[in-house]
This record gives sequence, C-alpha cells and structure tokens, in this order.
Amino acid sequence: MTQPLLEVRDLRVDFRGEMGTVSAVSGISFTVQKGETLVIVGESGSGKSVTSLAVMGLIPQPPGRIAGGEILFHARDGQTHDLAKADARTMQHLRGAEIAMIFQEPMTALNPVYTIGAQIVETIRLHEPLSRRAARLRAIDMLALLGVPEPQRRFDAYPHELSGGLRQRAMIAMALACSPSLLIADEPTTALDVTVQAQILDMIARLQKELSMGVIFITHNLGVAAEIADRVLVMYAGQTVEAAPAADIFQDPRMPYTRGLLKSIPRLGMDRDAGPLPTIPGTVPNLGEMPRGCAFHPRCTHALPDPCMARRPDLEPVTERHVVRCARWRDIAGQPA
Amino acid sequence: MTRYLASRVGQLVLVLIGVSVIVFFTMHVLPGDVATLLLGERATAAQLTQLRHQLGLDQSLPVQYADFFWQVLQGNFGTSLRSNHAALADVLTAFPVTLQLALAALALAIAVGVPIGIVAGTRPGSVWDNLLMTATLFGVSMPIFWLGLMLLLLFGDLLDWLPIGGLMPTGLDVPRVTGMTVIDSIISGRPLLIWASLRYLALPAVTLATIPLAMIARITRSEMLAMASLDHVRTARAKGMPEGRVIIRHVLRNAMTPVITVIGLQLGLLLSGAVLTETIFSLPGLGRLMVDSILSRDYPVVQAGALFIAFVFVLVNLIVDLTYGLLDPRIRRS
Repeated sequence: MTQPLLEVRDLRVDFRGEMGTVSAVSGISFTVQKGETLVIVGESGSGKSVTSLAVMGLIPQPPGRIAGGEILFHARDGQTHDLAKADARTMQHLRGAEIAMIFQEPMTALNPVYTIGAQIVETIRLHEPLSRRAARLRAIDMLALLGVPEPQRRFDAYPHELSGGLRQRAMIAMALACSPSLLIADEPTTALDVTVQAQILDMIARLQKELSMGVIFITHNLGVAAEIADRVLVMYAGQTVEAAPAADIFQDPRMPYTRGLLKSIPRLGMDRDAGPLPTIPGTVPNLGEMPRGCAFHPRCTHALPDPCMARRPDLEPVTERHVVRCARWRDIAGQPA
Repeated sequence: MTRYLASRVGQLVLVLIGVSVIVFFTMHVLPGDVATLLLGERATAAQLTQLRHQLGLDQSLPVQYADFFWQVLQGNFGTSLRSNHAALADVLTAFPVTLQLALAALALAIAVGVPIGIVAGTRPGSVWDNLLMTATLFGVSMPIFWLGLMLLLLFGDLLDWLPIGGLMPTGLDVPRVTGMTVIDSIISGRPLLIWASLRYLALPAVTLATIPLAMIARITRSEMLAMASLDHVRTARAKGMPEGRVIIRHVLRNAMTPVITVIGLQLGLLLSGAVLTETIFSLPGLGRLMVDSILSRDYPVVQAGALFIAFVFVLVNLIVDLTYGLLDPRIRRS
C-alpha cells in the first residue's frame, strides 16, 4: 500500500481550564488515503472539531495544546511533515495550499468587509505567484466550477449579499482554489437547507474525484455520512469508539453508541405507529467529569458493572478494517441495540 | 446615495436652527445687561435706552430672534461688541488656530494610540498589555490643565527645550494664507518658519492628544480582542496567511469601524473643547475666543462661534458616517 496522505497516530489535545487540564482528544489514530473520504461522526463535545483543528494547526493556544502523538502529512514535494510539531512557517506553507478547510457557518467564516472574490484571490496569491488579473480569472473559474450563477458578477459581491448556499459555495471555492490534496470539511452543510445540503454534498463528492483529494468530513449526522463516506470513524468523548469502512458501519455496527445513532436517523416510509424515534438518553460527559470505565456506560443499555464500569475498554479488531471500543461487543452481537 | 446625502444635509440644517435658538435664548436669559456693560456704570438712563433701541434690545425676544435669524441667513452675525469686527470674521480668524491644534493632536493620538491598542490587544493579559493599559488609564484620568502645566514646566522651563506659549516667536511672522501656522510656513517654503511653527505646536498638541490617545488605544484594544475571536480570522489562518497579515487585514481592518467612531467624536470635541489647552499655551483659538466673549457678554461673537462649532461638529459626524460605508459594506447605501 502506498504511503497514506495523512496519518494521525495517538493524537492527544489538552485544554487548560478552570477545573484543571482536560483532554478534548485522548489518543486518536486514523489515516486518510489520497482520494478517500473519511467521515468523523460524533455529537457536540466528542472532540471531532478539535481533531480537525489539530490537523490544521489551528488549536487556540493557550488554552489548547497538542499534548502528544503525531500528525504525519505527506506533502507534494515528497516530504512527510509531522504537523503536531511543525513550525509556523511550515504550517502557513501547507495551510490553504495543500490542506484546506471548510467551516460550518459560511456567514461568519467569511470576512464581511471584503468581497468573496477578494477573499478567494487572497488565498490564491498567498500560495502562488500569480498576478491580480490571473488570480481573479482563477477565482471566477472556481466560482463557476462550484455552480455559482453569474460568477463574474458574484466575484464582487460581499458575503451578506449572498444566500447561505452561495456563501458556502464561495467558501468551498476559496478552500479549493489552490487544489489542496487534503480537504477538511467541518459540518459544511449543517447550517443549510436540506436541498442545498444535498447539492453541496454532491459538489464536494464530485470535486474530490476530479482533484483526487483526501477528505475528512466532520458531521454529527450519520445520514450525511452515508452519502459520501468511504470510511467512518465514530468519536465519543475524545476517543475513537468504532471505525470501519462505510458499508460495515451501516450494515454491521458493533458499538452500542453507533447502533443508537443509526437507529435515531429518521427514514422515509418509517412506521409512524411504532412510537417516537428512538434516542440515546443523556449527553456526552463533560470532559472534566469522565466516568470510570467505558465513557459511554452511563448511557448504554448493555452496560454491566463488570467490565463496563470497571475498566476502560481497548480498541479491538472485529475484522481487519473494523475496530470497536466495547468490552462486550462479542456478547451483544446480534442483540438489538 | 444622493437621497441619503440630502437627508443628512437636511438634518444639518435642523441642528443648526436648534442650536441658534438655544444659543440666542440662553444668552438673553443670563443676568447682566449689555447696554450697561458697554456704556459703563455711570451712563444715564436716557443713554442706556437709546443704546438698547439701537441694538434692538427693546424689542420682544421672539422679534429679536427673528431679526437675528434673518441676518444670519444673510451671513451677518452682527458686529463684535469688543473688537468692532464682524463677529463671524473673529470666529474665522480664531478657528484655524484651533483646527491646526486639533488636527495635530488627533494625528498624534491616532499614530500612537492605534499601535498601542494593537500591541495590547494581540497579547491580552501579558506584561505589555497591563503596562500599556495602565498608562492609558493615566492618560484618560489626568486633568488636562495639570498635565499641560507640568509639560510646560518640564520642557519649557526646566529643560528649556520648547517655547512656553504662543503661535510663533515674536518678530517672526508667517504670511497668512490658511491661518494655520504650520501650513502657512510650509507654503512660505522657509525651513526656519516651519521649524519654529512645529516647535510652538509641539507642547499644546501633546497635551491635547493625551485623552483621545488613551481612548483610541483602549477602544482599539477591545475591538481587536473582540474581532480576533471571530470565525473569519480562523478562516484567514486556515488559508495559510502569516500571523502579521491576519492581524492587519482581518482583525484590525474589521475593528476600525468603532475606532473611527471614537476618532470622529474626539475630533468634534477637540475642535470645540480646546479651551484649557489654548489658555495654558496662550493660543488665540476658538475656545479662548468663546470663553472671553461669554465673559464679556459679546453676544454676536458667542452666537456666531456656537453656530460655527455646531456646524463643524455636525459636518465631522457626517463625514464619519460616510466613512462607515467605506469601511463596512454592510452599512453602505445604494
């Protein structure tokens, strides 16, 4: 197998707070191949956004800090950089050019005082020695590629003059303007209407093929994950609780948490008389008050005093490409979630 | 845009009418009689009555106001009771002195205040932040007359580096073009004059700059802090932009709107409120003229001065409002 585009090994991110230091991400590992989409799924507070910011080198420090692990990125020039330790210059060089990011809220993620064109041009000219004119043409091409109608006119529009869908397209155009090899999308469709959401997802999937980018897509919505994922990583309380190729996750989920998430997705044609949509009771534990044993046990219908409350389970292989963090995954296989 | 401008000019006119009413009536409600003041204690009743009639002071107040207003519309503010010049002429002679002082003070305040705000705002909680913010707290709370006198004592007397007051050294005259000594000196092209005018401007400008400088520094800092945590700043970093450019282009640029507001307000205040500084440094500016005229009940000059200051104040505000549109496209009107 060729060298992966991105390999994260045992990444730990700590935040110093009033209640002492907490680990927002405690030992997460994954790889992203060229042209592959990894979807990281989790609730708010699971550490998925912190993971993506760590890869970008954008963890606000203080209070945050990459406390351990490696983020190995295989750059175009053939070198492998450890982004966990890279200096500011290296990161500036890679960010925007080889690793790009799309954020959740396209209204606030774009600067309101510059036109979207100016903001795209800015990215291009940071990384490539293009004239203003050439950069402008490239930006208009990007807008057109993303299906922005009248790209020449929209180039001079300010963010507040565009709809949410167009703003997000502009944001994506900005991210892709330098043809990055890795794209990180942090809930890019959450703030959008469902129809626009579907268009944007299609767009990202199409551009990924054209540019053969690796994509890390972050979402709390397994329905979105099902549409685009090659592989899925489910995060809970700063850890991987299950990771597998998309087909395995959706057809053969092992971790009770994953099963709960899947059951709580509404589907067309569901039997309405079967009662309300199932939910997972409770919330993600506060990072400062992690339960003993398995972090998920207070919310788990399968939890037993031993082993679930006694020991923190390890990540165990189910198959060669499917791992799960559950002490009872063998016992509960085949049982309803 | 045209409609917006027209409505703003309409506002300006309304404000001026309001100010004229207030100024006119307050001056007349104040105790003290102009005729007695002009003719002295020993004037006879007949002389006083005659003068009051000449000045129109025996008419009812509304009639006097209507007359005043009609004259003002024709640009006639009356004649100064002290100098016998046209009242407006006295105001226009004094104004450049104040304008030069205010602009110099404001330029200094911006040139020093904004960088202080940036340094403090990008390092919140650091030693620099604490040091600079304590210093600006001193700046806003120091009484201006005390600071002026201390600077005068130190640089004018003890060190003897700078002149202690006035506009230009005696014997050195600048050909008057704008009335602003520095600019007139530059126009004259004589380095000696330029140097002298700058030396005479230095202490008053520093004195007058302290409060706006401190306020600009504090507002810049707090706006920088507020902007720095916004999402678009993270986007700028995600583009691979060097930190310095992120701060200038995506933090400072967005923080400028409130800073400009403060700058505009300060300019308005400086233009109308340089009284103390002008007094300490014996500058024949608008503030001094107004105080002297009020004390000697020189109604025409007070009225002309107050209307003029109101006019300048509203004009500065209009310019500031128009600047918002340039700085923030969300406010721009089509």
